[in-house]
Amino acid sequence: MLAPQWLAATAPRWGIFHPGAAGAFISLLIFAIIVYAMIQMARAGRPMRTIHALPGLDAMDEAIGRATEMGRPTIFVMGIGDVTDQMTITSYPVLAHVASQCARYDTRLINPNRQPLVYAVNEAIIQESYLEAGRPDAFNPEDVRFLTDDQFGFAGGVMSIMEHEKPAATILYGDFFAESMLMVEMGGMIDTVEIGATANTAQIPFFMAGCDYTLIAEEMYAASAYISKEPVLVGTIVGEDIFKFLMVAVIVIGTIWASTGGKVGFATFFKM
Amino acid sequence: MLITALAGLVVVVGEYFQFAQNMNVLTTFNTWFQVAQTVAFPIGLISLFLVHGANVQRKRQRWVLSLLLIVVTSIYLVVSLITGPRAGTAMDWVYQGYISPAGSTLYGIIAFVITSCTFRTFRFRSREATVLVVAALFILIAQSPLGGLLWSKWGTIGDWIVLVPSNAASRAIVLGAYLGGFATAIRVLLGIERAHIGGMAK
Repeated sequence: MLAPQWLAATAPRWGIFHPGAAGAFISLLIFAIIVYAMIQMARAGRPMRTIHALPGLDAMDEAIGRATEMGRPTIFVMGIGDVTDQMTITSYPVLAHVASQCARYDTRLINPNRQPLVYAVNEAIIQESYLEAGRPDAFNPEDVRFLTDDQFGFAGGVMSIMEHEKPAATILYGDFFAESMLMVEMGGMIDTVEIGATANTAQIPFFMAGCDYTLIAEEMYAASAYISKEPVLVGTIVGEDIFKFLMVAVIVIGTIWASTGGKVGFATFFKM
Repeated sequence: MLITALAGLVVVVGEYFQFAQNMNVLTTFNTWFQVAQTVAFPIGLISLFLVHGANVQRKRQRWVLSLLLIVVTSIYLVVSLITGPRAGTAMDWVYQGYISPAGSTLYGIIAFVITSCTFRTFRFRSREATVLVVAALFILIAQSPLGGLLWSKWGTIGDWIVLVPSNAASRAIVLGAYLGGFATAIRVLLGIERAHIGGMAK
C-alpha cells in the first residue's frame, strides 16, 4: 500500500537540514536536553528514582559465585557486533564489572570475540579491571581471544570452548543474530547458568526460551546505571523514561489524528 | 574522551545537516572505519596464533587441533595473498568447497536446536505460559499446509496474531531499545560512560 502524499518529506525548510531529518534532529535535541537536565539534577544532589530490580543483572554476581564454588570458569560472549555497535558499547561496563568480580573471586574469565577491534578493546577493559581489583597477576591474556570473523565459525568456536571448558556461568551480552540459539542450547547441555541480553528483537524470544535470565532491549542499556547506582547514570535513565512518555503521547495523538482523516498542520513536523 | 566526543559530533552533523551530506562526511568516516577494521585484522590473527601456539608448545589437551588450525590458517593466508579473492582461484575453491558449506551446516542445525529448546520450554506452567503455548501452536499450524486443510480461517487468524499483537509488542521493544541506545550515545559523548576506554562510569 503506498504511503499517503502528506507523509512524503519536503525540501529543507531552512536550507540547513537534510530532507526529512529536521524533525528527527529536533526530537534528538529535546531528548538530549531532557537527559542533560536530569544529569544536572543528579549532580545537584536531587534524589533520583531507583531502577526496578533486574533479575538478570542480580544473577550475574550469583552466577560468578557459583563458578567460583564449582572451580569452573565464567564465559562472557559479547555477540558479533563490531566496536561501533550500540549493544557492544553498552556491554563494556558489564564486562568490566564481570571481570572485576572474577578478579576478586579468583575465577577464570573467558572472553571469545568475533571482531579484532572488539577483541583489542575487551582485552584492555579486562586487564584494567583486574588491575583495579588488585589482581593484575591473575589476568591471563590467552583467555581473551579472537576466534574468527565468520558468523557460524565464531558460533562453532564458542560452542567448542563451552564444551571443552564447561563454564559454570555463561553471559551472552550484546548483538546476536542466528548463531545465538546454538550457543544458548550448548549452554543448556553443560549445566551452566545462562544470562542473555540483547536488543535484537528477532533473538529475544530465543534468549527468553533458553536462558535462565534475560535482559530485554532497554534493560541492557540500563545495566551500567543499575550496577554502579551512580545518580548521574540513573538520571539518564529517568530522562530516557520521560522522553519515552512523550513519544507514546505523540504516537497516541498521531494515531487518533491519522485515523480521523488528519489535517496538514500536525504532519508538518514529521515532513521537515 | 575528547576524540570520542568530536567523532560523535561529526557523525551527528553528517547525518542531519545538508552541507555535511554534500561534503560526504559520513562516507569518508565510514571509509576510515573500514580501513581501521582491516588494519586491525592482523591483531586478531596474532592473538589466534599466540593462543594456539601456546597450546602446541605446552602440549595441552587437543594441541593437535591447535597445530592443525595454525597450519591451515597459514597455508590459506599465503594462498589467498598470492591468488587473491577472484572466482576460480584456490582461495575461492576453499571458500566455496569448505567454509561456505560448513557455515550452512551450522545454520541448518538451528532448526533442530530450536525444536529442542521449544520442547523443553513450552509448558503449561501458568496462565501466561498457556497463552504463549496456544498462540505458538496456532501460528505453527497456520504456517504449514495443514492449517489450510483443517480450517480455511486458520491462516487468517495466524497472520493476525503475527501482524497485530506480536508486531505491536515488537515495536514497543524496538522503541525502548532505540531510546536506550540514544541515552548510551549521549553518555558516551558527554564522557559519563568510559568503560570502552578503560574506566568505569563516573
